[in-house]
Amino acid sequence: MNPWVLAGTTFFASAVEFIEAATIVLAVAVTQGWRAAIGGTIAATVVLIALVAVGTPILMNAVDLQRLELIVGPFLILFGIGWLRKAVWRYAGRKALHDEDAIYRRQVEHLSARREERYGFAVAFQGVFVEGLEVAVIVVTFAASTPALVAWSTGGAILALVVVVVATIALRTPFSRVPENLLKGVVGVMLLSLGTFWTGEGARIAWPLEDATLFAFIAGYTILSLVLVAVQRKVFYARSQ
Amino acid sequence: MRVVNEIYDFITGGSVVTPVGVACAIAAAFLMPAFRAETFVGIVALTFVASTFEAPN
Repeated sequence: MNPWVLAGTTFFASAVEFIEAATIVLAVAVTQGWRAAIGGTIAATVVLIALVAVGTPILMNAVDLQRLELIVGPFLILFGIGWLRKAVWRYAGRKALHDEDAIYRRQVEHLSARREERYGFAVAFQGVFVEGLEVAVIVVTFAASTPALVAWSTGGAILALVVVVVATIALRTPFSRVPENLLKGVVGVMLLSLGTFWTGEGARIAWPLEDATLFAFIAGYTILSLVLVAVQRKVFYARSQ
Repeated sequence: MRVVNEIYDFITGGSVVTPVGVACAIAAAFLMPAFRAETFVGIVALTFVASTFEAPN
């Protein structure tokens, strides 16, 4: 398994989720103070790290690798399709693009009505935990399926966390210029490709190109997504006329 | 019931097609000895295509 594929997938998946969490944390910091925002963020991060630290060895020791791939692979397919179809809908104009500025304004308005540090802590905690939970599940599945590359899969997520935290503190504005939909599309393709590859291996399919088959999946799903965007733009534009 | 719905949405992204498609793909990989890889990948790809035609949530 190519370590860069694992690290890249966890990096981009984490970056997207942490950017969305950063918008909520920033709104908490502006309305309820940085103490509540940072406190909630640290508490949620500790819980997520604990989930990864506990979940990975449990999953690794519970079953052999082939069965493990058959368990984690379908989850990655489901997550991958979830991310990728949203990106397709947004590029095809069927779903509004994720607007961090608008979400930030809504959060600030909502939080301004209840200025209480404890409430701010809870909102920051929930924001980081909910956004980070899917990343934690992805990291656990990667780490358990490829124990030799655990540093790569967890390293990608940790690097994304550091980059987003540093950028949030330095910029103190929502990440409205980050091409979130493109990142979601990339992560969707990677998760779907890894999920297809591992589920197939778990079902005892011998891939014709061995590990290189993964790159064929990445290329295939990318092309399929681009075709779907073009088709859906035409189909749903014609229906709306 | 709400918790079950939340978990379902978390795993499937609210799709009805995806879990059924993935289950069919895995079943086909085990039950069809000939063209196992092609059948499995084909069903997964079709599942993805079908899921994009669901109503956006």
